[in-house]
Amino acid sequence: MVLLEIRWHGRGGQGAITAAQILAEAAYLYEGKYATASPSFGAERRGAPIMASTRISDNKIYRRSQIINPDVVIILDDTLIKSADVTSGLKKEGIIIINSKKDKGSLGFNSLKVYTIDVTSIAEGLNLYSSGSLVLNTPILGAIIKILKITTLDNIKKLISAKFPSDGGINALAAEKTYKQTKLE
Amino acid sequence: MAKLLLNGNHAAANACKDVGVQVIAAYPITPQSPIVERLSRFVDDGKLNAEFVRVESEHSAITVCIAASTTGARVFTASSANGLCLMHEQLHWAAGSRLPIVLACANRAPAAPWNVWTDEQDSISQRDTGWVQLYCEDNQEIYDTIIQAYKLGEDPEIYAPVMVCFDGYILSHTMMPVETIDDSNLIKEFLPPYKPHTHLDPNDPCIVNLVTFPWIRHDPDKPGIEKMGAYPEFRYALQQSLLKVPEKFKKIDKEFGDKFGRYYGIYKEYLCDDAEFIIFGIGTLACEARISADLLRKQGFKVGLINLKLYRPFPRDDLIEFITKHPDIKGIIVFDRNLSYGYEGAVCTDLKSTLYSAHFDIPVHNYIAGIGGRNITAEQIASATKKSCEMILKGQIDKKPEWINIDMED
Repeated sequence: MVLLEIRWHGRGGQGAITAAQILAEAAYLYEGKYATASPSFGAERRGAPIMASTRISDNKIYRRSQIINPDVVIILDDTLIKSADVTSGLKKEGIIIINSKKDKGSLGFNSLKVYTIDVTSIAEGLNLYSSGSLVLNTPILGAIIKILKITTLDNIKKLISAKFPSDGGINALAAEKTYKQTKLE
Repeated sequence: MAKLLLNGNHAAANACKDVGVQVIAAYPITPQSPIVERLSRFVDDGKLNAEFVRVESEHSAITVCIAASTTGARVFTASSANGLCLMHEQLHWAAGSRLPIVLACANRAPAAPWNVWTDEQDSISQRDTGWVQLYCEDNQEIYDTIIQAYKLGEDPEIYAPVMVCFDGYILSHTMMPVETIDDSNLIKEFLPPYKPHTHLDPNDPCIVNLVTFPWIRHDPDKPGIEKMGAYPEFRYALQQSLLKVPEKFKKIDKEFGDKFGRYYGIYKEYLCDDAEFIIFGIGTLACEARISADLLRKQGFKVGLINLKLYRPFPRDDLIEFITKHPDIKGIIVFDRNLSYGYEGAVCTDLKSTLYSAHFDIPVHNYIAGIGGRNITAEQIASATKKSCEMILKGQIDKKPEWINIDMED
């Protein structure tokens, strides 16, 4: 893995920034990679479109600029397709991982490799809410590590549990459910 | 030792905890605020035995630091942009009083217009206050440099305040691998407790920094015997101490590296051995430029990189030595995320002055880049550098700085 550049799209409160960090931690602490994670620079508001990024590499990362041509775009909420330029700069062979109940053919991402996972239903099924918002970040990590082969399910569960020590393990369980429901083809 | 993924602000806060700062006073400003938020938590959790002083402005924050440092405490503050500018008057006071305060500056553009993104104009504007300025390119370097900064500033041959600067958001809010030392005994071996030159004590009252005259006077307590320093002598003494910083910092850096395994030097060089062109800069622009140097090498341009860590005092002798040892250098391309209005980038001016002082006739091109957080990529740095290389080879010298990635017409 020379350099994997991942851009996250979410809404303020959905946890994209935390997920970007947990993914970088998984790569660094468990897989011996160099990794960085950034929020979108500037102001963030609950409900407004936000971005975050994760870079993962076998070598030390010297790139400090914001990602222009991501290898992977992760979309936590399919309503963002209308309000944010989610495919901006995505490489031709790039991957989209999106939380959606819709059929991937209906999302308008022609010719791109798209993985749809209904993370919303998994989070709702587990009653996974935080401050009134449905938690989408920890469950989608289960899909991401499976599709991108970043780390094992056990490792990501350990990291998520360490991040949310008093949640009774529900975030890790959500990641596991998503992991198992994610189909690679 | 702990392997962590930390943002630059938290790397700075962890370093302050590990060196055992005793007094912290700061006023919140984006993007620096998480440093002092985390420090206040360390104090609250009992992980750091320090006095945390809440203040109503940055001017008060640095003033509290000056007072606390004069009692002999190890003190810390942090700021950015307009907050740092508000400290300006007291920055002179701290340096003139020879107080080894360490200030972390998460670099941000000063208003107006209002902007919270990265820009080195804030710390460059404090260049002439008598502070040492060190610039970082990653979060490990922020952690390590704060520890080194205390060792440097507290050295009796130096006794000067140190500003540790790092680009806002790009480092302050980006998480990266950081190895923290944690072991306070190990750090104490490297950085012993601060031995102050002045120790304000209510039981032994004295005045410091009373009016100091232009002329030499005799000590009224010892007439005809001991001369008292006058104002120019104080300034001269500070300058002489600051001139010792490059050599002192190299020693400190070596000792740090021997103990903890990481070396930085007063500048970092990359691909310079056979370089005909040097990209020169500070902070994260000069970090990203490593990739630019690689790109240009593939295109046949022998490009190297100098990322300057110690900006003030400007390490003239070391840079002259570097240029002397690299006779192939045909041109230097300086990238500045700052501007001395009406002239050019501050780093460029300083470098040109150094070259002139040793009679080097090397063309220098200056680019102003990344102002107010404008995204600047390795590819853009490479493209600008390539243009300069071609101009220099044709004997064309561009005297005026050029702005890259900017949407304006002349």
